[in-house]
Amino acid sequence: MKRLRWSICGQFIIIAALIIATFTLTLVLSISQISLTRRELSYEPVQELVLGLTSDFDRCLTRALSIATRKYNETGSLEKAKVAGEGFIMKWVNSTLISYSNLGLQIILNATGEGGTDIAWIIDWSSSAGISYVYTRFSLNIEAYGFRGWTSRSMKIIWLNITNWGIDISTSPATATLEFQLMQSKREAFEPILGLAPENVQVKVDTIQANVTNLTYLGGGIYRVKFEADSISVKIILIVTTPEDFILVSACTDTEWGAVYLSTEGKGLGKEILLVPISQLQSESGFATPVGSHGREVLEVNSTPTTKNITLGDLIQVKLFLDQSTSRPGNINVTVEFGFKYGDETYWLGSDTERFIGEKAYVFDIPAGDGEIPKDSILILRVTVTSDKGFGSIRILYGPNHPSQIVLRTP
Amino acid sequence: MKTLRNVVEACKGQARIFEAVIASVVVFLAFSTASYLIYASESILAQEAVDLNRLSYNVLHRIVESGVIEETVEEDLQNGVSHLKIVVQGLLPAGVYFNLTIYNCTGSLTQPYSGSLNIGNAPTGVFAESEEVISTSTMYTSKRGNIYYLVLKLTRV
Repeated sequence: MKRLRWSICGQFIIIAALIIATFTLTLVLSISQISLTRRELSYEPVQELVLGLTSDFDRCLTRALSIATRKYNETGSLEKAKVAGEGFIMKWVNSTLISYSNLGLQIILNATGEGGTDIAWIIDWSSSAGISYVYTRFSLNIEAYGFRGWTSRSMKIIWLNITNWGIDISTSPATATLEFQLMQSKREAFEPILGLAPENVQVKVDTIQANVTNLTYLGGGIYRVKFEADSISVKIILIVTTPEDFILVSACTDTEWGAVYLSTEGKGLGKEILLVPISQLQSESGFATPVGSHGREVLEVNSTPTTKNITLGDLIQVKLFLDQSTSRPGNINVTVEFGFKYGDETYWLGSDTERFIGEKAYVFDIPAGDGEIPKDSILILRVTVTSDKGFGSIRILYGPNHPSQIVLRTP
Repeated sequence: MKTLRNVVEACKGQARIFEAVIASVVVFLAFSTASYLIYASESILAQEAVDLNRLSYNVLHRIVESGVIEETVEEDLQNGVSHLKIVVQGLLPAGVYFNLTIYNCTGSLTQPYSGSLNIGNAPTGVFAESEEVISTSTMYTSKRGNIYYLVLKLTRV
């Protein structure tokens, strides 16, 4: 009997030792597993890589705008300028894809395509304010790191505004003074461009090159240039090359209505959206939402009375930056109609429809047939959004950062 | 009444349990210490690689943001390369070897690579023998419109 008790006691000791050993092994294995998991979650330089690429894309965009504006200055053709600028952007995209092919890098950027594009160019030098602008939006995936869906938006704006000018005809040759403001932006806020030298400034009186004698910086991006001119004319053309990035921008003293822009006027409850020439474009950015019900939303924007007769080109181009406040399924179509009101009569010149396929710049072409809009007319833009699944929630962005515009006469 | 034999056997049983517990504790401590030591050394190695990676990206960022490529490689290739070497060496702490390769990607769309140059301060075989070598890269578009692909390798001795 005693022998039996002893043997049971011995088994208990063995079982206790086994339990303790099991706990010990479990603990060791757990620590080992944690160590392996940490190794799997080891450092992957996604942030550095993405920030490096987007930062260099900003430089690429600056260079592309420089190429495009020089081409525009040579040819006067926005189409040729776009081709030159986009060629450089595509070269950068191609080089980057090849360099990072080992990481499975993908860059989705549609320069051309049905409806909207991911690259928008605006070079408008036809009035007392001039703009050289490029905007892009691209998506980026890095398959090696399982990093997908990054969307980057980049822009570069150079803004030139002639604020004051005067000609002294008592001297020979006639001397003239012109004050202008030169600003730039990559993101939201504008900042003055400093360090402009006389060789960065060209002045033409009509088409004749004037001799720049003095350039003074007055602060806040404002410069005063003095020049001598052989001929006297009210049309002075100012061409400025930015000293750091070699981007060209121009403006002239002859105000034209070659293009109009969506802009806000007034403040608070009295604030309204208007179509204005670029010289009256406000610095405030914003968006307008077409309103309505049952899948049909409408927004109508008018201009102030035009100050001169507007000679139209054969095509009116309406460029709108569109996005969606909340993504919804279904087909969304955006129809743009353009016309003007003269006296009591309203004349609609035409319309165009594009399918909304995401946040992009959309161009609507309206045949105008080389007509003319008389002075004191009110331009009318009507945007209608139709959706087969109820509300589309489309937003029209405007302001200097997203200059939605109507080009009445294509250069 | 307990006999002497019973007392001796009872003490023997307690001693066995005591021995088993002590043995388990010793085993537990041995395993715990070993696993801690293994984990700590891995952590140090991983931390070193992360530090070198961050250092390398910082150096690349400084190179591309300062415009030193334009001032050296684009201005004067002969003296520029040695000047760039001094600049990179100045950005790194002592005991870190580097190898910087700059590929020019401004060629055609189908064949973008149109040349490269190599700068480094490492003696022969250092990168092959080193246990911890990291390689980082970035793109750089110069103001003259050249597109470069920069690859920086670092190791610590």
